[in-house]
Amino acid sequence: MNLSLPWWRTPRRAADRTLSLHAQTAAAAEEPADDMAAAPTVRVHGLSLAYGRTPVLQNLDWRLQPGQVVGLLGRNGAGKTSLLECLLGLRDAQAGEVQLFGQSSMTLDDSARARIGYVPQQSDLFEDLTASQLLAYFRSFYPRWNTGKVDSLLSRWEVPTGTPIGRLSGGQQQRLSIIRALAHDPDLLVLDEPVASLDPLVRRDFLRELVGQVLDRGTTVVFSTHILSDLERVAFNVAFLQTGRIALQAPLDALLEEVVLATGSESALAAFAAASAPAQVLSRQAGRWLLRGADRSAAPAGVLVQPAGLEDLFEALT
Amino acid sequence: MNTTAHRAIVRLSWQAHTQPGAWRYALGFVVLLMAPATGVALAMGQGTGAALAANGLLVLAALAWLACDGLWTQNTPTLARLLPGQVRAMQELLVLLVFVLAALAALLLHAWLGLGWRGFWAAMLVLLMVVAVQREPWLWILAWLGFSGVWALGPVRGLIDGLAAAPVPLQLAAALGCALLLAASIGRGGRWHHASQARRLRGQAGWQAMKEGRPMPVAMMPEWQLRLKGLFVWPQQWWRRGLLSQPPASHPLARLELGMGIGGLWAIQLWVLALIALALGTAVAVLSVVRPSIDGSLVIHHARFGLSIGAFSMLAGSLHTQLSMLWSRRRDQALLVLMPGLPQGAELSAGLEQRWRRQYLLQWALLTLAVLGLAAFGEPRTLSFVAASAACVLPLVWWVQHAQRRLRDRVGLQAWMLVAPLSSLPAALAASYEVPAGLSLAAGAAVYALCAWRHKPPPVLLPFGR
Repeated sequence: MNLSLPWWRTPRRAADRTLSLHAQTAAAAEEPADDMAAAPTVRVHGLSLAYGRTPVLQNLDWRLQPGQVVGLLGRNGAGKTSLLECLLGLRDAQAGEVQLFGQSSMTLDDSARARIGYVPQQSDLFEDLTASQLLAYFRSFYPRWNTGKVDSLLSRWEVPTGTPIGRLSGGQQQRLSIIRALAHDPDLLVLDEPVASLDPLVRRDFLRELVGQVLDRGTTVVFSTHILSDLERVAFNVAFLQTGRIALQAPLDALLEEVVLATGSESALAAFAAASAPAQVLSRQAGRWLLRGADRSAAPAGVLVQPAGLEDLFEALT
Repeated sequence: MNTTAHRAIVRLSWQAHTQPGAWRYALGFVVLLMAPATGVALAMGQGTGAALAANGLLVLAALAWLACDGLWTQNTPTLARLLPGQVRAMQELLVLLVFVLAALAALLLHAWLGLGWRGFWAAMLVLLMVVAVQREPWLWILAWLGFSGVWALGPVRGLIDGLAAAPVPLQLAAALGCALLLAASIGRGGRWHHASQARRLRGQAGWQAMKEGRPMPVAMMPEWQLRLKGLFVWPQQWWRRGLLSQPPASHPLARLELGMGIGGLWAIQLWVLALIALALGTAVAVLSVVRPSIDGSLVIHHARFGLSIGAFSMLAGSLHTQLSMLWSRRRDQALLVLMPGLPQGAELSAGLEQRWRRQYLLQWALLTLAVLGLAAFGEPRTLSFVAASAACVLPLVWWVQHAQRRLRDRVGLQAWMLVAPLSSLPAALAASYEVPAGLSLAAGAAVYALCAWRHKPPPVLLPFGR
């Protein structure tokens, strides 16, 4: 096993390269990468997965560039966990391909594995072990291990190190799971509902840590969550999973700026949409349309135009 | 080779196991078999050296079991896929472990029986079997058939002799084959590994649920198991429908049982017993046609242990389930407080205790009648055996409730596990002396009455525990 690869010996810093904190647009995502520097961390092509006769992922395409932070949104049962598991090669898809760092996720070599951090939705820690024993175990496999960060997080997040994990609360186990995932300074961090059982203070600290990780190391982060306020704090990009596909992925700030919620009569809304062409109608509900790129000044009388919130987007796009 | 990773795997193999208390079980195994092993060695007239070797083999077997179990605990699909170098390190360690253990066992077998290389290959085959049954627990069925003599062991012995006598290159090739087999048994996170892990988790969830007296979580059951369950639980569902059709304020304690998921267990028990009786009757009828020479009463006599111990274990199991529900889950603790119409405090505790005692006695009476009815078709000693078993089980309810009053929450499980050891010996003695069924039952009733008379502290106030 040769784990002594150059990238470990020369830790990357934000200053060493250009960070791309924003997701590619759908059009850009189709363009092939022309050199290794621009190669996506994650490339998903034509991914399909079904449980029995129930399709979960349908011909899904997705790309994540180095340094991107993407919040994955979707309703319960939309397939977020399945997608993240397929992404890491933890679940066999019926069709399609996932590449991580240019390798198939099903046949990753050890050097690629050492660059991945994963926090599953449900704790998979060894319950008989203490936190110290668990971290010592994982430390043995990774060529890079940030002891300072581990000690600091254990202390800040008040994780007992001498108590068997099975006796820790759900929140403490979750914190430990996150520490384990961050400890080897991964280049790709996949987090499945990481903050669900954390209290607000630890949640805030965790999000700060996440941002620090991205800024310091240019880590690519993808995480699923239902807590939209957290997403607004850290996710530079959002991806909406709907009917087994990524319905939309875009920079969050731009999305919030570009998308408006228009209310009024159906005919007036249709006229507004036509006048705003080529604005994209994201959703139509009776008297309530969500438009992207609409010209607010073109709103006819009787149409009220307001900025859309993330919740409106979630409702419309998932 | 990353020796740090190897050391970590070895260390964790001793720190974490699939079942809590695995060390205790292993120690119990060694202690339990130490005397028989020593006895066998001494009986063979080979002195204390042989006895030591036999005990050494026992220790090796326990160590092999613990070490392999510790390795499987770490071999999860997620870690196999994501933890760099873990799979390879585990493969190397498993091969090393098995070969070292086989070599040590061979040395001990040679010291005891002078088996030479045959000892090595015999130990290797046993270790391969240990690895296989730990990897896929359903393989126990094949192992059990082997031990019970259904499979002829002659070919296995032939294989061992053949390998031991083979030229060195052939033995080396066989050893290489074993190493490859062992390496292949470590999962790499593929589909087979996921399925195997799911079975393993189901087994653990089932064991945990059994210990806590809960039914197996439905989410952990595969489709076939859910369908099979439907065959057994329909009487309980029928009872539930009947209860729910009553006015909401009626039968508060029965409704509490419904909320705790333990109501109507008696209906399942009686139905299962009816199925057993039906199966036994059918077997006897078919045998009497196919093999008229076989005596039907003898068949029933041979089924005495399963009949009585099985039925009364079910009964103690329901007692365990009822009591555990009071202690193990917050949800049930909340039910005790929040359910409308439920008496509170001492009234609730006394009411539940009386209800469950009544239920137990009634179920015991029905089960006893049923098994005695079946045993009546057997031999006179069958009846003695079954009646003595029933008599031994009767005071259990007193014992469990007595412990419950002393705030000890885990006695239910002990009661269930005690049925077989508690009643086997007296039942076997009663059968050998053909003690009349009435006498055994009267003795059981007298013991129960004495216990109930001597024991009258007020029950602990519920809810108690979590």
